[in-house]
Amino acid sequence: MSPQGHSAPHEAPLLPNKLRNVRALWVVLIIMAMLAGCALLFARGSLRLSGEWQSQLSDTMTVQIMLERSEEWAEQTNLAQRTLSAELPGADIDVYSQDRARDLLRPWLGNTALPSDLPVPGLIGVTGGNMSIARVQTALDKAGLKTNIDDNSRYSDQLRGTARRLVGIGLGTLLMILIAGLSVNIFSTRASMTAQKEIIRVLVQVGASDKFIAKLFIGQAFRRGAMGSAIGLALAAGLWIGLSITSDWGGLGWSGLGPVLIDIIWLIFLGAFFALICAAAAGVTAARQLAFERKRL
Amino acid sequence: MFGRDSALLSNAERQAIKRRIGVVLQDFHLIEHLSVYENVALPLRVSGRSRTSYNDDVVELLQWVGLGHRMQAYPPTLSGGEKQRCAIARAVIAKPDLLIADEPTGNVDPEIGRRLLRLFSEMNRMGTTVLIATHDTHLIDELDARVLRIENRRVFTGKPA
Repeated sequence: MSPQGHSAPHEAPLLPNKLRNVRALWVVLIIMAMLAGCALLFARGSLRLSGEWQSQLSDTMTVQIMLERSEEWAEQTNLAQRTLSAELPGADIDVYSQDRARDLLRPWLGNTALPSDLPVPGLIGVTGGNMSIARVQTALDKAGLKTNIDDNSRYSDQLRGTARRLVGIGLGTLLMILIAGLSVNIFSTRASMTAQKEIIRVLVQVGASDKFIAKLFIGQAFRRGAMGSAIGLALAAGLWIGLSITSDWGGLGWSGLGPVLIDIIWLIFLGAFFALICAAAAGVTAARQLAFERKRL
Repeated sequence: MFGRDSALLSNAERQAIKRRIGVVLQDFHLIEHLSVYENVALPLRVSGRSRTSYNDDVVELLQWVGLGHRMQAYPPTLSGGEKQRCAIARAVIAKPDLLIADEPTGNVDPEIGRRLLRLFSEMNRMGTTVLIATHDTHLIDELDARVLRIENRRVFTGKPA
């Protein structure tokens, strides 16, 4: 009766892991991971979009030339253009026509017809040129021009606030989904422990500690969470690619390799975090449930 | 229990003591999705031993109880006697200090029953306390051991007259 050299059969997991028994849970986990992924991508996209807007606005300004009479328009705008060209050699300077300036003013003046001799301010758009508002203002003052410079800071602040709210909504949604994921795992661990109470009873009988049993549920929940999040987040990434290709989302979508790579790294972190949450929920629930049963018995 | 007041034991101490006790229940309590081999190896696996360290012991014991050819079978495919032998093998594999068996030979043929009794006697000689609950008077006759009888709600010592 020599057992030497007899190969042992494959070591099976102590908890059964039949797919058909947990199919519904898989579906829930995959959908939650996908929603979490979309929320994260939305928050990241909002942040990126805000950055793009900020960089565009920080590079532009509008110079308003206050005129006493309409006839001064050509002379004053030419003087302002020369001054700006001298002060900002690399800048792109765009003098708006009187009609265009009038059109831009119209929303602020309502539907009433504007008098033909109304002195519409001269408008000059400036882009780039490493601009310093204070320096430009001084140069224009020295040239004897009455001007206002709008560096879009108010608009920029509004955009920043809007973007911050969008990011907040995305992260808030993500947090809610993760809390829901935690709750689902607590519930599923309790259900799983009830369904597998005979196995737990045998394990206790052969001397398994609570820690050993809890570890089985932790491992099971971690594997389930990791697989669920991998599938769900891949679906979220696929959805994001599809939407980025079919719609013009600007910075919100994926428009280049850089944002894609960074977002994918974030998705991998989210997947790992999701799996850890699943495992932690299972571990705490299993330990508490076992302690409760021990006290009860 | 083992010189300790069980009411004062911590969870860890209680579990450590449980690992010193082998139990054979009448309804076997085998885990259905684990093979016979896995079921028998369970106490060793739970105690943290590696598979390579216990493989030979498990295979040898399974062959001893006549389940060498059924190592990879699953409990639902076993007969009552095979389940019982599997449960006994699981109870004794970790060489417990105390073995509690409820009707351990109830479902096995006489030859296997005698073999199991030899195993229990051998374990007893090696220092394991063996406590067997049975209705089988032939089993009691074959064992040279202390006997407690329960009759009409009273406990007696010695074999029935």
